[in-house]
Amino acid sequence: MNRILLFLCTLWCCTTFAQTHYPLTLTINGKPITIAKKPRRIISMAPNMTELLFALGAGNKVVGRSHYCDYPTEAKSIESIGHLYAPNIEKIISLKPDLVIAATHYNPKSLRHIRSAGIPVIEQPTPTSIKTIYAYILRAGVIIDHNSEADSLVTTLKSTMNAIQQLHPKITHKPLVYYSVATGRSGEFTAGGDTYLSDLITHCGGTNVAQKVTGWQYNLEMLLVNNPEIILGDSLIYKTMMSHPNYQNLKAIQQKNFIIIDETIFTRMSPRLITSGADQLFKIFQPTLYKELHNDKPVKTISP
Amino acid sequence: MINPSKQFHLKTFVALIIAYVFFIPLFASVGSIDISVSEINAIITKNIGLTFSSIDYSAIHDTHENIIMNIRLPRIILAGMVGAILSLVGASFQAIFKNPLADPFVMGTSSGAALGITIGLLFGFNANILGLSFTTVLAFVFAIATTLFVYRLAKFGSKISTTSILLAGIVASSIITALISLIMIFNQDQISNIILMTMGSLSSTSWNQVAIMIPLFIGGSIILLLKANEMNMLVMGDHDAHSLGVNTEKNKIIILFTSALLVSLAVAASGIIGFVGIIIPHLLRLLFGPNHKSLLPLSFVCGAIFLLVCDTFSRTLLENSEIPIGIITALTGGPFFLMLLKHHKNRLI
Repeated sequence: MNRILLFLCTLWCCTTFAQTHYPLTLTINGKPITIAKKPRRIISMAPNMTELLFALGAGNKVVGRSHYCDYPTEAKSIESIGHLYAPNIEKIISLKPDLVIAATHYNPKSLRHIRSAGIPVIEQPTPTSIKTIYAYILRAGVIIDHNSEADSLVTTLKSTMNAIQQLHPKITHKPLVYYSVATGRSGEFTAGGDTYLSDLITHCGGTNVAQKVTGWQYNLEMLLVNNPEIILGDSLIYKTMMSHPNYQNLKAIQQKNFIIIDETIFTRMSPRLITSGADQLFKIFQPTLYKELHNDKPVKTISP
Repeated sequence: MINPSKQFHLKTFVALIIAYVFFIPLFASVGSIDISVSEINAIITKNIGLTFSSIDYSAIHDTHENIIMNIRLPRIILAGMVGAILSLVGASFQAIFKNPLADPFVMGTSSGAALGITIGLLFGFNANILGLSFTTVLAFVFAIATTLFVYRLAKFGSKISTTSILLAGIVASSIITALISLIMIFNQDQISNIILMTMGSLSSTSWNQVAIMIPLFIGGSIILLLKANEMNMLVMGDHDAHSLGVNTEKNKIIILFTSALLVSLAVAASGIIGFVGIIIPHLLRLLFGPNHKSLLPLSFVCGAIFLLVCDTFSRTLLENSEIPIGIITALTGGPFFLMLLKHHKNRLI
């Protein structure tokens, strides 16, 4: 009797948690979207979605990717459908996808075009916190019926974040950090207090200079007044800040605390943000505690 | 038409210069960080090397000094220089083309310079000879070529009508904008620089830029200011000017080349900023008459003040981002331009 009950329980768990029933109807941005059958030919129109699909073991189902999808390396051999805001609609339709996923940077007009061809399109807005990223991963798992993979990925990510969280009481100094998204003539862009990146910086033991700002825009004068201890940015930003006289009085520049990071890890909202990004930030912000985090365990490095 | 007794308005000129000097600390005090005018006065006088007993130098905040001296002041000075150039060149163009709507923006001079700079950016020419970069030389060549092209296209006999100058200007500007856009498509990494240039922006100005520009700015401006008499003659018509002993062709060429060089400098520093060369000389002509002896120096100072005001709005209207200055001058100058066009319609077409 017990065995039968256990079997039924397992079956119930499998069907409710680990398997998606199609047709699946979702509400995204207030609009209902129906996916008739399990997607087998997916086009990813965003680098982070491509990374996520590969992380969920669905890389072999991706038949089209954006021009910018370069991770993992296997993604590069998939056919490109063009740029994020100007995708090649004819190419997309000719690839006969049964699901198109766009995220953060996309052109709503192009998506309407694709929908009118009878192809379901999922659009994913920019996550505002790490929690939203988990929710998006789980939702992607449901959509493509890779539920258990999504569950275990989120569990791994959460444990990485928890390991850092547990060291928080030992933090004595949270350095003032500025994450530069873009700099120079077009203005200063950073991760404001309401962004997932700010969430990550705080979580990894730093203080975000732009905590009080919302969105992504900042300005040079505020940067000079708040004078961060550490600046993070890609090599192009490094070049601009090192060569332009406006930045030479910044503490971080004078003390050579500009740390060049791989922006694809931080500005895409892929699982690498946590698996690799959180680790990197914690190492930069809290070098002594970082050793404790990895004390006996060998440091797992994930190649960018 | 020209009243020779109405000489140079010295008092007005001096008053405007004083106003400009007073505006500097006033406009430098606004920005995303509030810095008081008294602190700015202390910072500026300290950095010039002057000390006044009435100023409290202990109140200077290091970061504030950095912001004023390295970010706001060079920008304010550059805005003044660019405004002075555009306005002075506007007045000069109106004289040599004998057309009230001639200005570096309408005549395609600015767009031509922008195309030269875009090509320069593309090939990464950074070589400097006497502060004149190869990019600026390219800008100059294209500025001259475009202006001459528009002039030839618009000229019928000895006169150029308003309609033909506007049409020729539109055609030249459209072709150039298309070329710039084409270059942009092939060079995605330079897109933001190119967009900023076509909309006009004074952000990220440094003393380097000011220093590079100053020798040619002063030289070019003096040449134009000294041509006031010749411009007065040219306005009366080539024939009359010639009979008064003015070598019209030679003077036109000197004025045109100097103007194109100055506009190239301005576009290299700040991108395309329109309408300054139309609004300022016209207002001044209404107020002080058409004598170039006063029109040119007054245009010079008023252009500087006008662009300084516009740039202050450009960097302070929005909390964390800038409105490109070209948008502000177009929104204030555009309607004025249309009014002018309506006013001249009956007379010139």
